[in-house]
Amino acid sequence: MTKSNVDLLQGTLDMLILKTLHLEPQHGWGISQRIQQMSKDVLQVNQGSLYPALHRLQRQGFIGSEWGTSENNRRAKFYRLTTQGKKQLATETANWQRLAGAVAEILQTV
Amino acid sequence: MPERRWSKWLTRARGEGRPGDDADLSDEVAFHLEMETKKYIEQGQSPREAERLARVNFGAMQRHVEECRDERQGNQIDMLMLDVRYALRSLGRNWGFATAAILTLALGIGANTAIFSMIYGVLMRPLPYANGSRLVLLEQNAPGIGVENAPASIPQLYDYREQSSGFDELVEYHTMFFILLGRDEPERVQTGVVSDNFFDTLGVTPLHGRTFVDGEDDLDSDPVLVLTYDYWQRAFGGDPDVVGQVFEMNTKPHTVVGVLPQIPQFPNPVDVYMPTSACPFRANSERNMAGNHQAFANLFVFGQLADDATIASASSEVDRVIKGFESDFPDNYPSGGEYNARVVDLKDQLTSNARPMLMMLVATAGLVLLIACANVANLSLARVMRRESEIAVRAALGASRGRLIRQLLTESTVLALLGGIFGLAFAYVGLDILIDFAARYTPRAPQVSIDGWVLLFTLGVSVTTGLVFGTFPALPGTRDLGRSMKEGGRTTASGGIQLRRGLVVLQVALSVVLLVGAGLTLRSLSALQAVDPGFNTEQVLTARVSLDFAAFNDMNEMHDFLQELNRRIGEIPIARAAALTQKPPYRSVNPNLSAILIEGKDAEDSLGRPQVDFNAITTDYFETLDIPLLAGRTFNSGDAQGTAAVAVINETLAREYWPGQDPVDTRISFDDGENWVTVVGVVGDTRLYGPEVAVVPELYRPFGQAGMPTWLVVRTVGDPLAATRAVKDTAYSMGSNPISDVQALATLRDDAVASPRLTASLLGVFALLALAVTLTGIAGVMAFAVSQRTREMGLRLALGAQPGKLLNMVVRQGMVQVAVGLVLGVGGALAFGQVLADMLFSVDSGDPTTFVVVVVTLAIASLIAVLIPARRAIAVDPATALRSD
Repeated sequence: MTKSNVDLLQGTLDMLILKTLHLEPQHGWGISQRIQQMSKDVLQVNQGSLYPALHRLQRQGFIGSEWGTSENNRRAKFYRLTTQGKKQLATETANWQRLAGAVAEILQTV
Repeated sequence: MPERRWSKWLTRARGEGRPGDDADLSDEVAFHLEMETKKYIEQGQSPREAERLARVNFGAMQRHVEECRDERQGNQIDMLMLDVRYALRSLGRNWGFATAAILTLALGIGANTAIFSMIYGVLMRPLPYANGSRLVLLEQNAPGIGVENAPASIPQLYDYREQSSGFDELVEYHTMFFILLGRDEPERVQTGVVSDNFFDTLGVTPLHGRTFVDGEDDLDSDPVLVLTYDYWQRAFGGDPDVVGQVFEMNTKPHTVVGVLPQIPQFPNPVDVYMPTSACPFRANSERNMAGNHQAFANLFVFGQLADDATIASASSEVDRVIKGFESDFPDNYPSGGEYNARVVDLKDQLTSNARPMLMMLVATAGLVLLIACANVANLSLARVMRRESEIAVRAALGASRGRLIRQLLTESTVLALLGGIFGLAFAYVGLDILIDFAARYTPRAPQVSIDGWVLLFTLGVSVTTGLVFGTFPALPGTRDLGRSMKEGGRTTASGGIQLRRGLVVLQVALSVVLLVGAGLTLRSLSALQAVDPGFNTEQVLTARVSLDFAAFNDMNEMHDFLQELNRRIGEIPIARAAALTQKPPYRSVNPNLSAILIEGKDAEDSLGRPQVDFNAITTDYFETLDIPLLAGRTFNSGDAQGTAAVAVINETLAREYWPGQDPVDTRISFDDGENWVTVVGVVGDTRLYGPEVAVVPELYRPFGQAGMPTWLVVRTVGDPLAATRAVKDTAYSMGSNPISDVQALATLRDDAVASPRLTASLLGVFALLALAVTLTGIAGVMAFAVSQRTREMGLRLALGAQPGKLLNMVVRQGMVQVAVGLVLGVGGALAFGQVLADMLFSVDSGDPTTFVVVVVTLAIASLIAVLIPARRAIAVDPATALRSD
């Protein structure tokens, strides 16, 4: 399972978490697996930095949390996107696309 | 991003979406690890390996927990705890710095804690009398006839009571000694004689039994006693059953009715209190006071102000009353006396003697704390400057300047609090010494203790200290972080080194102040100790004989008893000589001068007559105390009652009033020439009242012809106190006359300079500590400054600079700050000298010798402190220096 993983750029983890939660509320482990899956195993979430990021987002009011029951009937903390978080996701997605587009432009022309 | 912060606060304030605590987090992590493990097991790993992989993926648990906590920005307490923990860790890594700083601070804070507990206990705490704030003391003066603070007479007190309305009560107090019989030995008890409502007026509740009740000062009431706490402890071991016991005093039974709590005793400490009717002298005066408005003028008058009265209104009332005395009783009030009266706050009276001493201590302790602060600020500044790149990195990683300052301030406050804890220990240890010291100045000293207010003060001082010395390094240390980064921590913000130099200037200046203070008190002390008392204090026992007046029919019997006692004590085997004197050395405070007339000199000019201090002695007095005979003869057994009246004078009297003449065989008179006394000898001067009291003209008369000497002086073989038992037994074999206050004369001589010695030691210790702290400060700053310039030095040397010149340059730069500090310090010391002036003996508070010695010593010591690091700096090998980074 040692693929050539790409470390996440600072700030992009937050965006990916918001994106993941856009689909449905999810617990921390689920988020990390989902990001890995969606990126076809290219992006490896540093699991340790996941939780500080979750707490940060919650403090900023972009996500909320409550305790629920996981798919295998365990108590787990589920995170969900707030309205403010949805707006933030839209902004960040737009920013990202502008940035990625610009970088791609440069790389193609040179 | 201020809006973020706002929303954070709002989120918290609303209590919504409040992130979980650490327990929540660990549940969450546990779930995560479980899922991860399960995933690996499903992939075919062994359970143990699966668990290991899960943990490895997750990384260091504790760090994440802390990161999460940071992200949550938990509450301020959490942050503070984090800062405190960080501070402790960082101090632990620098234990050398931490120890130096904590000890320095402990010294400063400890000194201030001890001094504050004194100030609080003596000056600020309310009097332990329920009516303390309304209590006043009556003061009568007659400057026109040179009378100050005259005690009141019985008729005066009664008139004040009748003619004034500003007092709820006016009560009287005087003190006498009586002999208490009924215990193992006859005992001399110092007795406070008071109105029956004295304790009610003060607002004192007895510890056991009762105080006096209304009517107990009526002349025909039965005598009762109230014991003071100290006497009760000393004589009865604190036995409450003493209430109800009966003792004999003045040939009458006296019943103990109560025991007082521990209260300051003013104006004198006494053993027992009795109502006025029980004092035979006062009772006798009261019976016979008709026609004498000055009868028994021996009373202190205490008052409790009425609710609508003030000190000013009560003062003008009593002043009006005393002015009336002058016109109503012209026979008892010499004209031109300018009589006036006023009342003063009792608390001020209780503490006025202690004020200068306390002010001196406050000033000293304050200076010590300032030096300590400056030194620790200096140390921390050096440390912050070394950590500059660390701080810059942390700032780059997102720590705000406020956050960094807060961290540094937390560090300094933690240091100061630790210093405070040790300081409290210092204060606790030193307090007993200070209380003994203060007891010499105020009856309130026993009330000094470390209590809640003092602890609060210490806490306050510690926190303030931490913030003050923490702010110095924090401000420049966190200012120009971008530049520190660029310079790779190689050089220093010049603001920092300037500040350190400033702190050195301050330290030097304060050290000068303390050293001069210590120097002045030391010189004063050695001057005191060098004073020749004029008598030999070694191997002499002194003791007081208290005559049981009830046991004698007349003065002749007392005289015969004392002469016989003197003779028998002289025959005790280890006694070499024994004598009685009216004026025991070191026991009284001031000479008591009276005018004499010298035969053949101008009799009219009464003011120009010699003022002499009179003493009555037995024949062997001069021999017992080794006072040299300079001319004529001393007394012998022939100088007795009924033989020719004779006197011996001291050298000062002879020199001042018989200049260039021989006083022997001239005559003097005490009663305007009615009776004449022949001077038969001249003896050496003595200082009976302590070394600081100037020698006065002294005149001795033989016992039998004058006076009633009741103090024993006994020259012994070996330890004088070994004769105590024999002296007492001799006295008790002759009747119930107590022997008390037994002391070796040498001890009394030491005690006479105990206060100045303690002052000098306190200041001396503080000053030496300050000096040590300052010198290390100078050396530290110097070492730091030159280490910053190692490359420059190397370069200069490599380019051919002469080491000598280089050294000269470095030293000169270092000494500039010392010189500035010395100049400022001399100014400060002149001001501090004013505080000390009252406590100095034969030394001027601007004493040039002291100033020169201090300045020169400090300059030389500083030069050495500067030279050591400077020499190291130029000894550097240019090649190494250039490579150093």
